[in-house]
Amino acid sequence: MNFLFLNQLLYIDPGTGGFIVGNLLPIIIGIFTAFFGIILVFFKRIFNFFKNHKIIFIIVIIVLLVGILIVIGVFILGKESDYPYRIIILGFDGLSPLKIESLINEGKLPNFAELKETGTFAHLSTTNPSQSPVAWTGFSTGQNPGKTGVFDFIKRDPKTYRLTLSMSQIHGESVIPATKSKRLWHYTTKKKVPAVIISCPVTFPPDRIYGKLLSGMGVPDILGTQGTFSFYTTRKVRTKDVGGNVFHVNKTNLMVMDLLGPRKMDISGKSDHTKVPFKVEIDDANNQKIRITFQEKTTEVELHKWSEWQEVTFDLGFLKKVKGIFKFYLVENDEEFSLYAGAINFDPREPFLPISSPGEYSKQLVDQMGLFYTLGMPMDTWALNEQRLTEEPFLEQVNEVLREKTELLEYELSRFEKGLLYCYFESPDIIQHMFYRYIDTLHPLYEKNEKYEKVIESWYEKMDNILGNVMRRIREGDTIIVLSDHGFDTFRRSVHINSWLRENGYLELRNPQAASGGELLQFVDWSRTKAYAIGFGAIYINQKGREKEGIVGQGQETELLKEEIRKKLTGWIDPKYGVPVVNNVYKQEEIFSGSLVNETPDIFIGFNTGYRASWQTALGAVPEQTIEDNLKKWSGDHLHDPVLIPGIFFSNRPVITETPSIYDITPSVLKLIGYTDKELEKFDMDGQPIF
Amino acid sequence: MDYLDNLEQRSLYIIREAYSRYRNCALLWSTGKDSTAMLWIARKAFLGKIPFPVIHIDTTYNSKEVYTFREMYEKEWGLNLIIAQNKMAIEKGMGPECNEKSECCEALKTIALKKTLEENSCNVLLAGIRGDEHEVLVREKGISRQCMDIFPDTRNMQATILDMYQSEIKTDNRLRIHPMIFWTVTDIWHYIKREKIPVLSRYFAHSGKRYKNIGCEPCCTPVDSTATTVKKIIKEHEDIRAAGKNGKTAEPEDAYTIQKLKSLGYM
Repeated sequence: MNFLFLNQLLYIDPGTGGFIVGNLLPIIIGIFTAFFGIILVFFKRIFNFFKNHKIIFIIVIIVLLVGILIVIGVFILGKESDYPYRIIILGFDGLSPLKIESLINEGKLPNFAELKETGTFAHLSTTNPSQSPVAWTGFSTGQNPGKTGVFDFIKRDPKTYRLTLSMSQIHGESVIPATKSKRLWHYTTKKKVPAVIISCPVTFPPDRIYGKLLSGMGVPDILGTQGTFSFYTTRKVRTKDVGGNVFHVNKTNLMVMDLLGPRKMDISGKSDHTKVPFKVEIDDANNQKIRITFQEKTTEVELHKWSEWQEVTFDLGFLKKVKGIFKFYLVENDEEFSLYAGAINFDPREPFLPISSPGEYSKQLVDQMGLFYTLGMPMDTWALNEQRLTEEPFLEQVNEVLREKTELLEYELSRFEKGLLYCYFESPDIIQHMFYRYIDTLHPLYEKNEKYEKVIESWYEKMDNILGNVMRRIREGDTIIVLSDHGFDTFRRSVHINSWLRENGYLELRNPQAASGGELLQFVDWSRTKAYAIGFGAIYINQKGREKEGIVGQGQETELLKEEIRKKLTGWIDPKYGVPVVNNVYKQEEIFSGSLVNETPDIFIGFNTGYRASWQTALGAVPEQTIEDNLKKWSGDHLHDPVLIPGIFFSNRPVITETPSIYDITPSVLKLIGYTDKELEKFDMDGQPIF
Repeated sequence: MDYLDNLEQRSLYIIREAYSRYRNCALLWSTGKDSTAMLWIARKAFLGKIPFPVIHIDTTYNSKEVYTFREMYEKEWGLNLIIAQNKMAIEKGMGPECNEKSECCEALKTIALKKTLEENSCNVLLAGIRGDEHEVLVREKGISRQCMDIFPDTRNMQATILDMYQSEIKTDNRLRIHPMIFWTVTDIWHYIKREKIPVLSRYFAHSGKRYKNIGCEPCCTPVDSTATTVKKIIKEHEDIRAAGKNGKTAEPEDAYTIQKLKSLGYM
């Protein structure tokens, strides 16, 4: 969830290209019409041709018959699987086995306790690195990042040193998926086992599957970012936030502001944001609410309350329109005025890019449960981090997203007869990221707050309730799997890896006297740099022949350097707490294998709990210090050494191992639905069936 | 990651967290297998050099081997070793032969430890209590399995269970932390085997007898055993466990455990 901050930096705008709704039907009708048209027009000639060439006529007839037989064969073979049971997988992002054990002991999680007692509970080994997109891709493919190519939030192109997100890339009309690896639902589709996949991370663009799939983490907002908020204020605050835009306004009874839409290119080729102006009317006598009008609709927004869904349409010209939905929140309305507008989500009834399979599934869901957040990571974490929103509205929003998700699961469960159902809950991760500072008394931002120190615990209880609802519907033969992609721990200290590399002589800036280097590795002197860091723990060796200006010879020279860096990093003790900063340092070959291994980092740092690569490091910055206190509200994390923060695994079935891994889930499910061991071997997975 | 890695990492985490939080820690080392395994992990946690003192309670009644072992590894591992001894009681002739055993334990272990903690201003004690030993605690005192609790200063005080993150030491109390609480005796032996951790030779069978615990010489009796290697000890424990599952009584370690708990101020 950590890469929202890249929004502005890696801005990709879907609106600058065209977009065609992917409907093949008109094309097929067109081809058939043309084909029969040709036959009709040339009927006489064709008839005469066949009269004179009877052998060709017979061959054509045989070909047609074979074709019909093949079609019948495919139809028969392609009938729905006869697997009669239901497999339900609940994906709870970030639930920690240690916390669960402790709460079970306190009698607070009755449903987890029951499953532990009657089925299986284990610590789940996760991917290395233990980042959500990496781990959930590992879950759904059964493959390590060297095969899937999803190994960090951020990648670099060695030929340019340029950074990109490792999520799907949007290029005009097309969306390039983050991985080419086959996912769990490809295999269920092959066997025609009906599947319902709700919001699994890294499922944008949606794969066509036998069943239904709603895309999750990776779905952008209408700007093409992972969520950009707008903040309109009379306060003199900086205008550029990490996760959003700040607009200064002068308070009057009638104010006009703009909603920013996708970029649009004008005839001269200049691109600028489309805008929808809105009018804010303030009543001096009543500061408890304001009236907002745009696109001929007026809505009242109350102080300290989220508005209803707002619908907005941006006109991109050439008959192209983009529909979005968002919510307002009135932060203050007295001497100062501040209005918050959340990121504009795709309207699920008419998304600008498809967000479900089949395409109309997202619309059907609106008919069933009303509008819902479609953004892959809908929570306004950066608004809280940047102090545009306080804890209260943030919590309300997270609760609302959870309500939507629970309702969606409930709806699908009520009509789920057989096959696979997967539902993903992001909120435990988000809540722990933002509220750890209320439970870790050693966190630099720790403050005593009786209400907020209970939030994390309450979220575990909410997940327990969801599990309980599912358990009550289980029939004989059904399987429940509950997993998290990693555990959680505190994030007290930010580590600037590039600064450490600089201090140890592996990275040089063009100006050796400079206190610090800018983001995106922009002031790095490549001719004297042996190693550089981007992402959340990755170190790349500046290799000759691979990097644009590489200086370290491939092979032995690189290997020796990797070993040297590993040794130095593992001996690094943080003077503040007296403990090692790094728990393990992994070399590429120790954690990645597969055809894409050359793209993966040469070294990956497994940080000790409490320590994490800084936000600056992720963007390739070289700050002055090597380590500093984490003073952001984003105070819990899981970007530590994966062996320190395993995830959870629960099932109503016994398993044949004490140490299941996240790679084992997909092969286990495939075995349940009838794949043989021999078939599984061919899929090149890194996990084994554990049932 | 295998099962032992998981246990090791959990213990490692607790030890580091304890030190991050309370610099005035001390680690209790009896030279027995559990506390030696804990010491081994603590060395890993701090890259070979443990930044706090290691306390050995010396009743003077330990076997000779214990002293040789202690000295050897004190040097080899560079430990800051503190010997806890109730010299006054020893001079007065306190011993298991002439006194009640409980009285002797109280004087030579509990009081010795408390005095040493006071003298060295240690408020936090890392103790190698295992989860399966802790069952005794659960039975005796109703304490649930947690990685830490408050060291009660008054006998009747119920130990308070604390969450690692939310704990704060109250003025009159000390904190006792159990980094090995998740381990069973078999886990410990598997770990000793994997890591090749040195252990006292008393654990291995000599002439059909071996010691299961390292206590004071007069109070420890060896058990019948043919286990001459770690592998055989593991097999022996697994057989005992299997026998337990088959309805036969598992061999109790309760007497030793209770003695150990006393020295930690539980009883």
